Amino acid sequence: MRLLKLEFKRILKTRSTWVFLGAALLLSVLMAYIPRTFVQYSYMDDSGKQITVSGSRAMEIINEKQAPYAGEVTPDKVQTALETYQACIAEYGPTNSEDFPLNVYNEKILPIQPYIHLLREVYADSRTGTAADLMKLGPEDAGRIYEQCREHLDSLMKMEQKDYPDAQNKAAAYFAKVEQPYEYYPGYNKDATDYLVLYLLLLEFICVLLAAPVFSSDYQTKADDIQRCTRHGRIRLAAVRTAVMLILASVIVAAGSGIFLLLTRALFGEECMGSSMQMLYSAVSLSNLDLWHLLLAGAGTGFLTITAAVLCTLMISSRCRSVTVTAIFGMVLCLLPVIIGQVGSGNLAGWIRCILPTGGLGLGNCFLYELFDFKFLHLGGRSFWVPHAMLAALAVEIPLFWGLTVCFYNRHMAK
Amino acid sequence: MELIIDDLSKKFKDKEAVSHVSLKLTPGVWGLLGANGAGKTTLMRMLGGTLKPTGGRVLYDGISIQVLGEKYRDIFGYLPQEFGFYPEFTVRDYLEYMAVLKGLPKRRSKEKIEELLERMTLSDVRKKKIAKLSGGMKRRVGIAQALLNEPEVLILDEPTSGLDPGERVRFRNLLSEFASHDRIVLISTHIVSDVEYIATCNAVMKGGKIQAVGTTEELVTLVNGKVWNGTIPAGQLAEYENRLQIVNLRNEADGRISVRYLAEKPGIEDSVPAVPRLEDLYLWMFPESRFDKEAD
Repeated sequence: MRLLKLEFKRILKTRSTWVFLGAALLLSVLMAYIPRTFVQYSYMDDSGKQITVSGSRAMEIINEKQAPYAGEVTPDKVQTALETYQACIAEYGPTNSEDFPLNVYNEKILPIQPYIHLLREVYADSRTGTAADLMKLGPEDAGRIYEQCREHLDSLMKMEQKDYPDAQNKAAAYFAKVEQPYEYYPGYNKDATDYLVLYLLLLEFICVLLAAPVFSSDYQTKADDIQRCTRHGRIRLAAVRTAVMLILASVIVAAGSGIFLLLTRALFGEECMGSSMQMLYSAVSLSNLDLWHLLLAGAGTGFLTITAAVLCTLMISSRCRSVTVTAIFGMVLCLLPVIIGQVGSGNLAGWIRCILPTGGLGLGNCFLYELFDFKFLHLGGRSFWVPHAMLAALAVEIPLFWGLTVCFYNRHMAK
Repeated sequence: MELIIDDLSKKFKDKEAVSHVSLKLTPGVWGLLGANGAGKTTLMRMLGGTLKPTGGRVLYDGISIQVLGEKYRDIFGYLPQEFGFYPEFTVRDYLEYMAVLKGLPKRRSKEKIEELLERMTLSDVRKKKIAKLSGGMKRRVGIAQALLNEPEVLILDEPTSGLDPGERVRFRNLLSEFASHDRIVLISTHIVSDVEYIATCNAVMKGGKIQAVGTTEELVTLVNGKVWNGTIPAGQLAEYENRLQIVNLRNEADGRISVRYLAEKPGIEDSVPAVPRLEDLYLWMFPESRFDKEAD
């Protein structure tokens, strides 16, 4: 315990620790706040001039407009929404036309927009995936929206996982656990989810940069030569240093993402956090999560990913005699899933991305985005949903990297 | 108690830094003499277990230090030639950190730290950040950490570099007293005066090999009849310096210079044999280090 305490003292006396901690907290506030400013609402005033409001005022108006449709997404509400939509289109033409009156859009279409998206997606063409023409749907189609969700998932999986029946079966099994009817509460801006992912990625950079010098710095300054000759200067010191770094990273990530999530909840409202993820992302998403639990799952996996990234960086640090080289390796490790995601999309690239300790975080492809997606990885005749594969990889990697770090440090020999 | 170095070798790529060194270290102060690049530091790092030998082994009381592991490190103290501190730590913080690494109980470490701060005259700077200390003070902090666990085997690599003459004297006295309690102290140095009067035994290392081992008295017999005193005209100093290995010179009042030099036979008329010292042996064996010595 004394060693742990003194190691903490040492780390906390380092200026860079406070700089990174400060940056993490500041970014959490900034990045949670920014998405709220993106919300916009436009209308025509009495003189025919278009007025645009943004931020909290825009959110209040949109929430007010969509309030009648908040709550359970029942087939009756879907049917009413469809009828309203069809009546408007019949009178004014397509909503994307310049002739469609803005105020009519605000009064009629905006309140039912989430329902329109739902219908468009689940009644999409089963062969091409093209969004449905809602003018061709009847009241009975709205009434069987949830049966259609299952059928749409089946056709989607047959299209995307044509040769993998195990993936199709698993997707159907996961979706069977999703609670219906869905729930929808207005007020959330999906940009906040992207900002959470970006914020977690920045936290990963911060924690990796903090972890890079833990062992390398002592090799570089030769402080290690003395410590290595002491009773507890090998296995115990390595275990304690790793623990301290993990605790520090945990505090940074827990505090940073905690502030981010609580601020997001406060800014967008408690109620909208109860929306089913299917009403915000794909209507046939495979997870039975509401928005709040979706964000928690994203942050939680981000936490595990950062833990694995920190441990992997510590392992590199225990092998590498240069802080700069360790930091470069650590950053490359963070960016590798993004790069692999950009250059390859096959099964192999998918496995590599999942197996990487940093695979759970990235731009465009990360655990949170995979929760909305239908990607499966295949091994022999079996298929694994990407979020499950990522979690399994993390469960193996976290203890493995910890063990390897201690082992490498213990066996390190000076040159 | 004995530390046996048994046929120890270390090869770095093509260069053999330490070549088949065998030595039996017994309690007392041991001086390891050798010029820069002789292999002293490499040998010491192998004794500390921070460098893996290419061949041979180190035995403490008959058991390999690799096998002893933590037990060996528990009775071991080490001050490397170059070492890093944590710049953000104060002197006291650092010693406390090292005391914990050495497994000292809290109360004992507190007492020991206070004692060493006092003995190493570091009490006034205990709360000062190490980064702000002078080179000599940093060295003293390094010596203090090596002594924290009252090691049975103490290895000091160039411990006096950066210390002023007064500090060197205090340090020598400290080591003499420390070694008198049945401990092995090995000091690597190329400053002969550091060990000349306190070493129980000396080992001279050159080219990765031990060239000679013995007490100061035994070793200086190797240069018996090779150390001379003579006087030369001041104007001819450069000429004599080219011909002879002059180890010391002093200007005399009459425009002449008294010189002490090393040679198989007298190189100056009327030279008289001088009583050899360890430094003469060192310079005899390492003539290329004459300028190092003068610089020191």
